[in-house]
Amino acid sequence: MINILIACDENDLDLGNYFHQSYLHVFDVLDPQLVAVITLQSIDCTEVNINLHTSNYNGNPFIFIGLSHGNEEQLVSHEVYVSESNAVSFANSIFYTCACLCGSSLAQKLIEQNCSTFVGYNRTVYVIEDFFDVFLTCQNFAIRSFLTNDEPISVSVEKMKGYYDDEIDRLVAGDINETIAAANLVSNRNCLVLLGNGNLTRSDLTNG
Amino acid sequence: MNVAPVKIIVIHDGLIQNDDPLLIALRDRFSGSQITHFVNSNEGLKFVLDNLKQKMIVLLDINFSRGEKSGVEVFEDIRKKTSLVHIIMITARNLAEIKSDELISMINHDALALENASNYPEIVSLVEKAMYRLEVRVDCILEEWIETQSIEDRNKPYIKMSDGSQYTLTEVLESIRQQTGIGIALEKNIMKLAVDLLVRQKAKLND
Repeated sequence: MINILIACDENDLDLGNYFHQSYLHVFDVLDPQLVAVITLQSIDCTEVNINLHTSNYNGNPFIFIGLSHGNEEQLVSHEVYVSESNAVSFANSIFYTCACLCGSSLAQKLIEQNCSTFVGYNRTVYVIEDFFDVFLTCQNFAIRSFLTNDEPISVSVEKMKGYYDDEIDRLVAGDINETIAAANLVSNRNCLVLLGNGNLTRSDLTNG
Repeated sequence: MNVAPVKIIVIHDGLIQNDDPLLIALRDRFSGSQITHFVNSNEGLKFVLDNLKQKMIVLLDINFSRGEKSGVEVFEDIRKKTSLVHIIMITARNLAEIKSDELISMINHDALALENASNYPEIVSLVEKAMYRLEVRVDCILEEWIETQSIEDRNKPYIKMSDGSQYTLTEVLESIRQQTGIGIALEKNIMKLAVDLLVRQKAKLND
């Protein structure tokens, strides 16, 4: 079984629906025979809960997926739930998030505390209202590919960039609204980063 | 290049109505219907602000009579509202004779093209260049597109960021005009898209 902990801030006033749709999009590929999923909804996205659930993994590898706002130092729902203060909770994890800006400072601190791999964004992430499905499909591509193919996470991320390219090319052939969406996909793709071990595969995370 | 939609607004109290050589030179090069002349700076400013959906090039004198806005004040009032207007300042004065704060304001707004009103060929050339810039500048293209959207669509959330901020098209438009935050970010992203397409050899060149 692969342990997966998902934090989803579906109650956020601006992007709650987007985060929820993203969650469903990830959940859609999770095979209950292969994965054990714990979902923390908005109210449960707290540092205390995160630390409690990750400690139950007893140091075994797991995947964390953060679907919420963020900044250089934190992931945030109604309160800060990931920061330097609980970075140690993500030892031996693949940390995957759509949050803004956390791909440099916070990511580095997670890696220093033995997080295996970080996949996220080191600048502002844009979402165009009329193109939620396109943006979340791009954003979730690598983790879905990783969970459905026995491939290194670095390969999943490269495939994700390729998918961004395909969507950019498709949108840019449309009207100006689609072109603006494509422009913001370019920006998102350009700030996507992978830190840490890119060689991990799904098999490496299987416990028991 | 399609220059027909661009209006040329001359706001200058030192030119002879209809028969000034500068106005004649402009009419010779462009269509007469494109050119409108105001001798009163307040009236010229009002016309510009009342027609913000129109791409315009404003030829603007610096000095006006007491009770009227100065050229620099007109310049600043226009720039607060739109980037679709390209402004060329016309003056017989040397740079050294212009107040330093006025010069700084014009430089900061990226529209310092000072010419003497008697230098007709150079002014006509500047207008031609301005028309081209209005056609190709990303901010102008974005602003033009947003202006075509319905009021309802412009006031709905349009772009959201995962740092918690969101903007309507109306707010994006304001930001483009003020050259701040999200406006600049959108322009940059469009430039990134163009570079990305070129780098990936997907650019389709139009003639």
